[in-house]
Amino acid sequence: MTTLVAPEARRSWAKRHPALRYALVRVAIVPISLFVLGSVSFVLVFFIPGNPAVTILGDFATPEQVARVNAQLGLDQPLWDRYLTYWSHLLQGDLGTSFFTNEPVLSDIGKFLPNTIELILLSLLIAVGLGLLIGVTGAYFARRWPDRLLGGVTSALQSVPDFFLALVGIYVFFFLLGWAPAPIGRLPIDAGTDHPPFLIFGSLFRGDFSTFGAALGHAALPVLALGLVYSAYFAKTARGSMGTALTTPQVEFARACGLRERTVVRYAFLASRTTVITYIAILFGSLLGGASIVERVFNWRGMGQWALEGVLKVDVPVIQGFVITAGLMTLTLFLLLDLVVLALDPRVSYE
Amino acid sequence: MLTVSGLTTEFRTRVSGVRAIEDISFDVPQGVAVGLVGETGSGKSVTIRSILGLLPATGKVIGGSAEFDGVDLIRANRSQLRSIRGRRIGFVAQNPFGSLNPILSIEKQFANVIRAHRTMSKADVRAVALERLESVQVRGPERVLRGYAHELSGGMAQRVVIALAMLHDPPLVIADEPTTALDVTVQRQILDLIDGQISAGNRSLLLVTHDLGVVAQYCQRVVVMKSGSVVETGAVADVFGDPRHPYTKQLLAAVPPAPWSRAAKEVTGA
Repeated sequence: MTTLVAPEARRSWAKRHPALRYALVRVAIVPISLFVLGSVSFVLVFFIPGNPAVTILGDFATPEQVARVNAQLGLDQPLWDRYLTYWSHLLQGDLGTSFFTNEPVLSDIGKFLPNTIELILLSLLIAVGLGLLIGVTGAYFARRWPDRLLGGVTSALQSVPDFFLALVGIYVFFFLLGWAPAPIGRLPIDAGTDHPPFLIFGSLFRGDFSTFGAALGHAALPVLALGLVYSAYFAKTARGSMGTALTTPQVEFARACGLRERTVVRYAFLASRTTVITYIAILFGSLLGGASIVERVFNWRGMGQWALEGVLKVDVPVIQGFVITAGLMTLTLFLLLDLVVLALDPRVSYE
Repeated sequence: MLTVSGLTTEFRTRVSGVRAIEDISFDVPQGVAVGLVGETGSGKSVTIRSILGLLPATGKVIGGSAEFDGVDLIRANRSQLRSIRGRRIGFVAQNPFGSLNPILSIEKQFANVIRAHRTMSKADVRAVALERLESVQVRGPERVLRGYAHELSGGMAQRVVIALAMLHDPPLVIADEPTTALDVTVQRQILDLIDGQISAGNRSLLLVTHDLGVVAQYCQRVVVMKSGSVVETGAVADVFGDPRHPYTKQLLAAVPPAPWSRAAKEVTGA
């Protein structure tokens, strides 16, 4: 710790702006991560049991038929050639076509990814809002009855699988009470499955409130199921980081100076905000695939459901497309996360 | 000014309560500096946190009182306590980097402490903060005000903490080992600074320390604690000149001799 500042002229810009240098290095790493991601998604497919040709043709296919399909799919080429072809297609933005539907993978992703993003964002909204409320309340009343009660609720929620909560929700709110629509997708059955991407946000933006209302109704149960389960994870994290923040000497000094409890809690929350933001990013990344079973339960037609069906059919381009998309989104998200954390904290200098 | 009597605090564990301090009684009269001494774990910190209502969730005062300004701080409600803390009683903690908020500018922290007890415009906050930083001899107060805690040296940070604690000119200041976390070279400066601020306003000081030399130099009265109880209390000259309690004798004997006296002995062969 020193207040002395060396002559600025003698120091390089990187030393004078360690944060900027860190940000640049962090961005420069992205292409390397992308190369690793692409290669991993290529290699990953060989660890999946099953032969796509056999899956396509069925168990009674002759070896000649299997060989012919393998040739069609390019699976008879040497590995190295396939790797190069894979990269040259990838770099042109060509993710191939599904073995089964012959749909270009990229257009499938364009169809399914917006559905998943809407589901994740709405679920995270519930998870973050409810989780923070529970966690902060618990931390404030540490070791007293509200903390114990909320801790119990959180543990109970955390131990319920999201799809199970979804099924219970369907049974109670659709079957028994009739408050929620049938779990048949994003809109009532007569609306079909073709709709513009970002149904909820889009219809709200366009002022199409009848579509918005219908879409929101169909989103309620899956969003609540995911939101409730993940709010438990959030509550635990918030309880921990706020609990630590509230017992620091900094909080003690603030109280000793007579600051209002409201202010004290707000600063403790600000002190633990990077943990909370980091957790949002991690949950977003994990929900990209983690929501797949709930998507399937509600026939949500999202990325997870699409990838799950791809995995079951050994639809190699679909699996690769999913791994690359999810990986790309996670990489971008974590890059943004690091830059946001860097910008938020005056202490972070990464020297 | 501050009268503590019979103060007893327990910490809750899974099975039972652990008594951290028991039947603590002492006075801090107006204009007097009182040293609260004792080894680590003797209950000094718990005592002042009980008085200020800053015990952790597991701690609870189960008996006794702490009268200040005609108010029993132990039984005071939250808003009473809040209006006393910072305004009538200033608190200086051990580690300045722990005390200051790392993500707020120093100016913002001055604004927070000022506005905890009165309304004031941004310009006035700035003027008051600058004046106070100068009064605690902070170099380059404008730059310090714009900056953050981590840009300060330990000594400078503790000066900022002292300025914050004294913002409302509290008649009583409680300092919890205010120099333990600092370099030896600045410890004296900080103690002189606190001493100067106290005597200038004819205020009272409760100085928690394990350094008997500090007590001898800066305090008029001393309270000696051991294992959660007060073992001896009185004027510094009396207690140090003629310690009654064996523990006080031990403490005094444990003070290492000044290095020059030892060196002198070696030279003379005494």
